[in-house]
Amino acid sequence: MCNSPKTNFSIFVSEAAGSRSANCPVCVARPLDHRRKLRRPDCSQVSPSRLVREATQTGQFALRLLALIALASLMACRDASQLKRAEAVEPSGAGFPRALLDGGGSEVTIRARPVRIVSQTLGTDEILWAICGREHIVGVSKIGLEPKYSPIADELRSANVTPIFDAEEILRLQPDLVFVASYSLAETVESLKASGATVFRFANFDNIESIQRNIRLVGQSIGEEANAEKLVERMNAELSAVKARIPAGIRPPRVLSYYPSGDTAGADTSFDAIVRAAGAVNVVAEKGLRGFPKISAEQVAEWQPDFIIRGAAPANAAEARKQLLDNPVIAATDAARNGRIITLDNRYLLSVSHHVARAVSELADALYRSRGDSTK
Amino acid sequence: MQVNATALTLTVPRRLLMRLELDNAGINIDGRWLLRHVSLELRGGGLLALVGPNGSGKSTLLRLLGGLWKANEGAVTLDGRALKSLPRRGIARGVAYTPQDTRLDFAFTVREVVMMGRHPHLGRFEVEREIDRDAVNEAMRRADVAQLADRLVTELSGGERQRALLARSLATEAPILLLDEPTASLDIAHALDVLSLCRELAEEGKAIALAIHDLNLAARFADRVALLDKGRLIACGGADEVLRVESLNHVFGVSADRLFTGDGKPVFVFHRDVC
Amino acid sequence: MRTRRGDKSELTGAVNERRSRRVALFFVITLILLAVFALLGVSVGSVHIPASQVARLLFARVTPFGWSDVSDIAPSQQAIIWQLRAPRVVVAALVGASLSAAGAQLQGLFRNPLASPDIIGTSAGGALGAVIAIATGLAMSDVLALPAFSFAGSLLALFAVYALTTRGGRTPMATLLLAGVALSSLFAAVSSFLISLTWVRWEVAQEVTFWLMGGLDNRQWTHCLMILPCAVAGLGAAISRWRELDLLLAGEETALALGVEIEKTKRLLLVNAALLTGVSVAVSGVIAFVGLIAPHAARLLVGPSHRRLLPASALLGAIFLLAADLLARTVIRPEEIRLGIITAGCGAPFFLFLLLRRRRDAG
Repeated sequence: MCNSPKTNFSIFVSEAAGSRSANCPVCVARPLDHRRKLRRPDCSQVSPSRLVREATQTGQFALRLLALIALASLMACRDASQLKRAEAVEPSGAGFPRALLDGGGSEVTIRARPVRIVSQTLGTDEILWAICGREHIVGVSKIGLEPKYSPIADELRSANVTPIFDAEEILRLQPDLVFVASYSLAETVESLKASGATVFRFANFDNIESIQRNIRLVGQSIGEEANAEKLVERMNAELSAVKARIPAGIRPPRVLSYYPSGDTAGADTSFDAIVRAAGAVNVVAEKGLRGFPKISAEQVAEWQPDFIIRGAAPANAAEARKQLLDNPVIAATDAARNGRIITLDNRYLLSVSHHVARAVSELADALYRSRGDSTK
Repeated sequence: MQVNATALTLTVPRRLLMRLELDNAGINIDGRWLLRHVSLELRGGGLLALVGPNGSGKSTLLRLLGGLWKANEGAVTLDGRALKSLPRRGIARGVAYTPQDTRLDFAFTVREVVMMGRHPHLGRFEVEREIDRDAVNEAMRRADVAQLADRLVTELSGGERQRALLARSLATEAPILLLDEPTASLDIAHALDVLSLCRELAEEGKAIALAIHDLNLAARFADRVALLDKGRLIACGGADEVLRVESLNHVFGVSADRLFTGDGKPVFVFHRDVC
Repeated sequence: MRTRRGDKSELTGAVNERRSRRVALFFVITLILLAVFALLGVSVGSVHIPASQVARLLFARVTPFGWSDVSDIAPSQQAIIWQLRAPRVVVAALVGASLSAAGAQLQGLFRNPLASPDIIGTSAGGALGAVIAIATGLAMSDVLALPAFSFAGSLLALFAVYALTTRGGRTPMATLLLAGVALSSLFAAVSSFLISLTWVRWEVAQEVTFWLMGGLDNRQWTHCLMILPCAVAGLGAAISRWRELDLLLAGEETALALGVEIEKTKRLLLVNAALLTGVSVAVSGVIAFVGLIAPHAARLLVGPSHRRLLPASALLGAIFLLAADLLARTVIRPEEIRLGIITAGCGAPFFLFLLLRRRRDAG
């Protein structure tokens, strides 16, 4: 472009090139030495503070700083693998190490019989409390100590078991086995693995069989199969007792759960399992809904269940019933007008461990006692 | 000798005469021809004033000359090369365009604004050099904003801002200057100063085109005048030829009396016809 | 700093000196604050670890193997510092810097100091990707799944915005704004729909909601490695274009006249800002206001020239997020407030401050 005779673009030609690598004309030093002595190209001296001030003004400074930070970060990341436990792991106790399929579907190897166990779900809190030696339980979930939701809250509190609030505390406790919920995000599990513990996912369960399977699974993972089996037997005994109380030859009562927010429970929920175990029919499941959908009060009125069930803390039972009746459509249903609104203890109704048997029992009491049949 | 047209280790550019030319150029936006069949030449050493009523296409013409808008018809060439084919930086080093809008909402100092004019000469990672600072100081001195160098542009009056933008264009050291209404917000003293400066620059060899409303100032300072109306170039030539009472009547719709000052320059006194 | 009309060049020289000294002071102070908050972030947590142990551990990590012996510090404490707190601090700083840099670029592109990284739709796209990852259960199985899906969502949003806005090689800012708003709404609607579908499994909905509020809990070194190259590249690209950004501020026509290839530059800055935002959302969820407050505050402190504004915004953003995360972890110990809540909570006082300042200046 620049050597073309036609154009006047020679204006853009550099004439300054060639002077870049020459020595300083004043002090005859090489350019490198010049810079080292903090002199400008015109040989004037510049102070370090002034240099700092000028340097911070330019984008080049920022770029260099950025590069430095990047380098430092990369150096720090160099050993990003997780911490391995210092002690050698020896198999101890019958049947360890063992491999199990956890609730999330991954295969988990439990190297040795766990002696320090942390539970992060209410379900495993309850099961462990029932089948495991108390000294092995070093941490439970926050909800475990909530009296509104946990049937064992008082027991845990009086035994001074630690509730866990974050991953740091778990690391501090140095457990060998941690039970987490199946819906926990992967990074939560990775953080826990950083402590060297084995992480076992505990899946939600929708019916009695899977709850019992979970109990056995927990038992297997901690080496307490015998206790787990005993718990299952106790559960079955309670359920059989309930079955015996169901009056013969009557039409199974039609029930559904309903909350003022419109939430209800359909098929594949523990509520459905409880209802069936109590010998009743879950209307919502009958109509084909699964999980925890929301329905309108009009729908309830249309389906006209025999009983409407709601969970609440026992102290708030009256208030809970009143809240349902505040809805005029609900109040107009047959169930409401005949005083057939049942409130069940949330702690057992929402349980996903053996405590559901108690909910079944309470429900059966409410269903069949109110019909005036004597059951004992 | 190292030759690198895009690296910008530039020393003082030689004041070469450059030529910016429009050849039957036209521009069409949304179906409307803003300019059509305009042929014009801008040569170093001359001051061209663009006059015409509002909407006649003065700003559009300047934008075409500056390569900001592309012509739909005809050619715009810089020293024979089509503007379309030149890199933006190259055009910026040759042609400096000063917009009419003086709004600057951000709190830059005047010096920083004028230093923006050195952008065509600075590479991505280059820091301002001594010659850039000198060019900026010189530009600010000539535009009479040197005493405002460290003030924030948001605090200046409209006229001071306009002069700061003029300084920015001067700092580019481009041989061709395009100015859109450079005297719009200026008081009479400053307006005369700016136009005298433009005259000086023209005499030093730059090519200057400016759009101006005040016909008397145009007549007094410009070598050539281009009269535009509704997107057409009505006349282009010396002030005497173009600024005639009849043509002014036809284009602007006003009548005028032409008088002459002591040094032979025409002065117009305008009035509406009394019916 | 109100400058006076000075006719003597010595006076203007003095003003220059004062300003450059102020800027240098700003950078020195922010670098110190960054180091302080980073150290605090690593030292503070629900488990108490003495500061001396923290210091020794950090020293051991950044020096070559064998220089110092930390075998007496319990492995659990080492794990807490190095696997839990340190990655969290690094991610906080990088996310803060990225979001601020993105905000600064967008404020320059739109010539509006109230622009933020959310307006071009990438945050909404990233959120949608994450919602899909959590709802389908993929986020439970692999640490990389959620960030990957989120980033893919951001890329999708960027692609859509780009395709909608760029016509004939030009990218008009007004169209970009409209496209960004439209896409944000669309993605937000789809996200909400997906959330409502998963509501029947309420615990999944809980995870989604928590993630959407933004948070840095359980960040791993994997997350750091994900964001580090993008942040460095993005910041570098932005800082190297500081002059073009300044010229764009002066007006597109002016920039064009002064030799800036404005369409190419606008596209590059748009993509850069979107990538910085996307990668931040991928590793930390949706964190509002950082990209708006930090550049705005930086502009008030070091001026609008991007040569200083970009590094200053990045530094202020990093410090802001580090401080916010610290607050999130300590205010209701041992529980944790979601990070997005803290940053949103800072938004209101900041805007009130701006409002009062404006009223005082005008009145």
